[in-house]
Amino acid sequence: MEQLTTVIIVILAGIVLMCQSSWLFLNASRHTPRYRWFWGVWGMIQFPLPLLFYWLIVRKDWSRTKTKP
Amino acid sequence: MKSRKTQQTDQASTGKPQSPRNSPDDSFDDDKAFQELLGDHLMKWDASIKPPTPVLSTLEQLVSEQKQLLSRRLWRDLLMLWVVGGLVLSGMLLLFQHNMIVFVVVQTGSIIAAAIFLILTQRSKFKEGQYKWNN
Repeated sequence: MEQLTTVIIVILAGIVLMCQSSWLFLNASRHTPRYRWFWGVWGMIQFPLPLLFYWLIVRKDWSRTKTKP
Repeated sequence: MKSRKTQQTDQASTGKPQSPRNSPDDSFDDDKAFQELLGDHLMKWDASIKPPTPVLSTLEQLVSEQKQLLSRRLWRDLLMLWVVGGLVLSGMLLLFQHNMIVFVVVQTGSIIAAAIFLILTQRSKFKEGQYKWNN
């Protein structure tokens, strides 16, 4: 039973990583095509740090959040 | 051949009167003579030139071909990513099963490497922006 749970967790982790990687790759192709392979490969290794960094670095518009003194 | 207006501005900017040969009146006469001599022919020649207008269907075909090419390229890259991903995931799984310490080291190393890469690319982007802004 314990082994089955481990297998299910591993398969789920693989699916999540594949989905994350594909999404990052496709989205990066539109927003930052130069580094799409970086995001795709990094998205294959870890979760959820690549998504978080992608949102912070590529998608978030920091110029809007700056407040005037 | 300078027009009358440019001649006047030239004179105004230099502060000196132009030579009698290039006086505004002479220039105006030259313009008039030029118009009389070649004006009609030039107008006819200009009217006879008809730029070729592209057919709409050709443009649509071009756009659809480019779109097909882009989507084909994207699918090819995505398939390559899945192949690479399969290799990476199976390698990670093997590491996870056989040597937990190496797995943790690889994970930590990938975070550090990614952070360094991001810092370097952001810095180069910032420098590029500064260069473009200053030059």
